[in-house]
Amino acid sequence: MENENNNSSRRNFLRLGALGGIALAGTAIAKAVTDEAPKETGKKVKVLTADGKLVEVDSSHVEHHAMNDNYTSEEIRQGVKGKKFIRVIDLGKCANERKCIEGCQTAHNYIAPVEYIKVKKMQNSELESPYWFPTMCYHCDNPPCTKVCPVDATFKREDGIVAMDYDRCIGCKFCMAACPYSARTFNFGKPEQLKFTEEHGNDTSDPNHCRTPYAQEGTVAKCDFCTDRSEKGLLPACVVECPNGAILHGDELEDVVTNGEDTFRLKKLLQDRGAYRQFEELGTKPRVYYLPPVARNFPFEDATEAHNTKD
Amino acid sequence: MKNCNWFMVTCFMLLFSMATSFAQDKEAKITLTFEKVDSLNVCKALVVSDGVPVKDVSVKLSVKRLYSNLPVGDAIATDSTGVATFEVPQDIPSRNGKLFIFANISDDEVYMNAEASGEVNWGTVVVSDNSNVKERSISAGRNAAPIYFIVSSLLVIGLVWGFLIYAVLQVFKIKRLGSAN
Amino acid sequence: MSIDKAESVKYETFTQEEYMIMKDDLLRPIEKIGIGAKIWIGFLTAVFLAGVFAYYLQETRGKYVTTGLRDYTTWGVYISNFLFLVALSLSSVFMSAILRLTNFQWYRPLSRIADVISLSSITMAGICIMISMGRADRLHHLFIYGRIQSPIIWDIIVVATYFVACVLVLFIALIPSLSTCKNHLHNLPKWQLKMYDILSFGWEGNAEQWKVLKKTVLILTVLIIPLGIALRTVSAWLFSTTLRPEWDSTNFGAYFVSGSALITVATMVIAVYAFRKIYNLENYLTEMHFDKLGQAMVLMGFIYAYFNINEYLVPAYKMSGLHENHLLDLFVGEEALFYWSVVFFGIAVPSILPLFRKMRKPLPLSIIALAVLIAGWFKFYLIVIPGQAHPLLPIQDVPETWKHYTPSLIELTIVAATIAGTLLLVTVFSKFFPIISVWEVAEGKLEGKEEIINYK
Repeated sequence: MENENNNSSRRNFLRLGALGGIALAGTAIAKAVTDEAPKETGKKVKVLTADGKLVEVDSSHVEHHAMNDNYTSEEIRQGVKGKKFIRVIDLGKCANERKCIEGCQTAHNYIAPVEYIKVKKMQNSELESPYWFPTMCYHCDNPPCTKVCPVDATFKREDGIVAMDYDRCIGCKFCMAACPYSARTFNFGKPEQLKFTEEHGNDTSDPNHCRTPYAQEGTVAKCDFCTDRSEKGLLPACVVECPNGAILHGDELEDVVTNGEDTFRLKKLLQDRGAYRQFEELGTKPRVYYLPPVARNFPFEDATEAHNTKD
Repeated sequence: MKNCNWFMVTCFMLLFSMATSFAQDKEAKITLTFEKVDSLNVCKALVVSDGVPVKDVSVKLSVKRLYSNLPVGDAIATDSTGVATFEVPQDIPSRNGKLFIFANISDDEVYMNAEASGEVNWGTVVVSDNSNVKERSISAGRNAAPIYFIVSSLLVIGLVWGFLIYAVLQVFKIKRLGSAN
Repeated sequence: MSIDKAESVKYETFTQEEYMIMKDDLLRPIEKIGIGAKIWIGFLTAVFLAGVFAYYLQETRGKYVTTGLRDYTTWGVYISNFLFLVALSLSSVFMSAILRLTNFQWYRPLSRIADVISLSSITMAGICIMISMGRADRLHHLFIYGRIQSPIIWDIIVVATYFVACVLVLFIALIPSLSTCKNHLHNLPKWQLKMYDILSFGWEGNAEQWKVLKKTVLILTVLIIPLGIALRTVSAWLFSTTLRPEWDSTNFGAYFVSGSALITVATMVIAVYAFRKIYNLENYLTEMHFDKLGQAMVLMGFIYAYFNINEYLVPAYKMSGLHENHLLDLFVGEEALFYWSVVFFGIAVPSILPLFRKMRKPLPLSIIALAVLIAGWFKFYLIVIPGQAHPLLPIQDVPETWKHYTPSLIELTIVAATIAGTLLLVTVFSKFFPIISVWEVAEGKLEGKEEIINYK
């Protein structure tokens, strides 16, 4: 009798879970569907739902703009229409678990010690406590890197993203010298990296896979806010991977940022929490804001392990 | 006494499993109505199950955004008429002024999940300001270099190369002067 | 200028005997190539070819394996060497054009040497830009997609322009000498004589030709000064247009110009010493020249010291958090020995030692100049490489090789090849063309400036 009951309740529970899953998948698809019903293309694309399930939907249901074969280079350079991507990082929530770094490396097919996101230990003065500080490309509104690029290989798009054209970059590395945040990395043609790119370049098994590839040999690479995921309404890999929800990503025009779990009004969040941008005095106008490391979720624990020791 | 206990436990379990199995069958339907009351945006979610308004079930209201739904205030329980009343803020931005509003009941003990959505013209229209991208500036693309920049650099380059070309022409002039004699 | 008046008269008064002696002296190095010259040219060619091979390796095996460059130090020894070569290429400005315009008559035997050094080093500097590119195969993108807002494009434009200006300055002043070569050299291969014939552009030395030639040389002399300053300043702007505190300095352009002034004096001393000894040109490149160059070295040394004080000691006085790491690293940290040696040999020695007359003799001055040149090369290394070691956000959790850049053997070979290439071009030039401008020296003599040739 008891056993039976146990079984049935477990079955119930499973049924509940499945129902919930379907409901969530439904909302995810609904979210991806555009306002006007588009024509079915018959082409299926995989879409990741909010709870991490892969669902196949018709490609016409997915909003896509730039970074698509059907788009001219001109359109790619304009970016996703009507969006202005923005990011808020809650320093009180970062515990240097490095999940964002690893998720980004997998999503963009590159290997350590290269990191688009770097988590640094910062301490302003001895009396203050140290905190973890995730940095990445800030997609500045007054970008010092696009100023110096000799061939327009890095450029500011209308959706706020500072993008890279790996086919055009000549590898002069001036943008790397110009970036005060050291956000850019260079593909020096490390043999392991080249092999990895060859083997995993078209590997889409990673649910966070980003179609914007890793830079070609001899060109500059950097965080691109997972632009092709963003245009589908999917959060960038680092946001999805962060276990503490420290990275909030969103659209400035929608006035919303989210870490996948909680969603906040952007302006209110920035105003209420004393947000700041790194090196405001440089006038670069970053699109990444930081919430000061107050009201921390956990005490600061120093990293005992160095991760990128091997060249 | 012991036996009695066992009997009681079994009875409760039976009752519980019956209740849960019945509960699953209960489906709630949400109907959204949008109205303006004293210039406030009021959204009412009527929860009905089997044609009967349901009270005391908490409903969440949210607005569709690119990545996720933005909750509108806290969850509100339906009143005796089965209606949960929300005030939607006036300042939610939207590209075309339309807002896609979701009302949902999630993980309720009785009604599980239910969802309804509707579109309403309550958004504040925002226009994407691309002035920093489109204007001619030093950080813009090659086609958007500042005019003064293009003019002055062409002027300097032209001047210098003018002299250099002049010098080359002088070499040929020297040759001409040589052969003339 | 008074030269224009009665030009032909002056040249008629030039005695045939004097001219023949001078001509023989100056053409002798062209007539016969000694075994020493062959070994020297062979050696330079070998180094240059080694560099070509090293570059081939670099491009085929990938820069991760072949260079010491990593993400934080992305500009290495190629860029610092580029800055050095650009500094050398200002010889034409400081050792020829400015002296010519300001009527320092002792410039006359030096001008062509300076012009050749300029042309050779700007050629190699241009090659250095290509070597340092990640994708040299996309060089044409600079022309297809070039953005006028980028300092790299300014650099490409100014290097190309300066190169052309150098060619013209050198060549136009060479035309009368080519005619001399054509008329007086006989025991040479046919193609070489043909070359002199073609390049002398029908030069007969008539009054109109002289007039046009001098006018053109004057225009180019005036033009090359702002061009050279622009070249140097733009290459400084490659650094000062960034937001890195080590480079973010309004002083940078002037600082670089003053540095190259000193380096060109040192280069000139060494070149004059070498040509004087090897080609037996003691009658033309006299001790007076060393005396004057030694004085110039002191002047340039003090100017350079002045800019260095502005560049290093003023930020050090404030010692803001932005400069702290970098400056302490140079002054008392791991680069201290390196830095102070460069300051000592590159600034203190050239400013103080040539103050003494004995130090302005050929040999001591040449040794000083060599020290200045080597220190000058390392000075650019110190500007470029440790300048990248302290970005605004700290470097953390990276492999050891990312923090400390060490140039690889391949990089050093390529750098050696660019230096060898510069020397090779100068040497080969001096084997085909008179390294001292016959007519300019003669002109000086005619104007009664006896001291140029017979300085005791």
